[in-house]
Amino acid sequence: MGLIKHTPMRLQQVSDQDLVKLYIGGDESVIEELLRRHKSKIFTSIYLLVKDQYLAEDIFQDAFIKVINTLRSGRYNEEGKFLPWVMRIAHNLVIDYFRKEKRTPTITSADGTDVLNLIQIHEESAEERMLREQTHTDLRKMIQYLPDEQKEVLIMRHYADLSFKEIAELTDVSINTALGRMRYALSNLRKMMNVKEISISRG
Amino acid sequence: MTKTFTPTNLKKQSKAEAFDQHNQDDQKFYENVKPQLDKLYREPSEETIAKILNYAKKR
Repeated sequence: MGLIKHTPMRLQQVSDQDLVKLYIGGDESVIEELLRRHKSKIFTSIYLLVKDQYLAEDIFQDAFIKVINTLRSGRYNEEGKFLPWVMRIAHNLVIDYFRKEKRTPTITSADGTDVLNLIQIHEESAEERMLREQTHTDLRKMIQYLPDEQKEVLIMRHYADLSFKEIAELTDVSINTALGRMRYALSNLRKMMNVKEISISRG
Repeated sequence: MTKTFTPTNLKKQSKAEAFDQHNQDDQKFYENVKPQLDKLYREPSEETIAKILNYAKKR
């Protein structure tokens, strides 16, 4: 394998696959770039599935430790794309967690508070903050109300940015089923928002 | 004299059209709700990132 030489300035232009090759070739620093590119997508997907910041941190960390171990052991299949591969690992860890806990995702939020909201540094009025927090909480709750298989597809499509083909492979269903689940997820979210708007307008 | 006729596939067409309209509405809804969905993005803590980077450097 021909190693790609890079300078820190050019790292952002290197493909995921080439970054992986660089890591396997001994350049540990490229993991930072892979994390920078994908951490939000992967972490948000995990968080919306488990609904707990600390648990999401643990699963995210475990997923990347598995990634690193697999890369080091030479078992990584270069034909696959990096992000869907990491998402598959994270998804399996989430499933393992629910199996171990012998519990299914509940429809109520375990923790309504948003830690990141507390450390927002830009100035906003109390009213604006309340409205923003309420909107975030409402939408997050609506996503949690979706049936698991619809929620899963919505999260993987929107937050993890996976294609329907990748989602279908990851969840072991046909592409049409994945597409259908996305359609139902959107339809149900739309209905929930309509109900909420009606209830607000009625006071 | 004006000729009149009754379309036989009216009901079928309306169903298909309603389905398409529903899909279009959902798609439009998705485009509108995307900015709100994007606001739910979260980041892992710096501590978690640091742990992963430390692990990655250990050979």
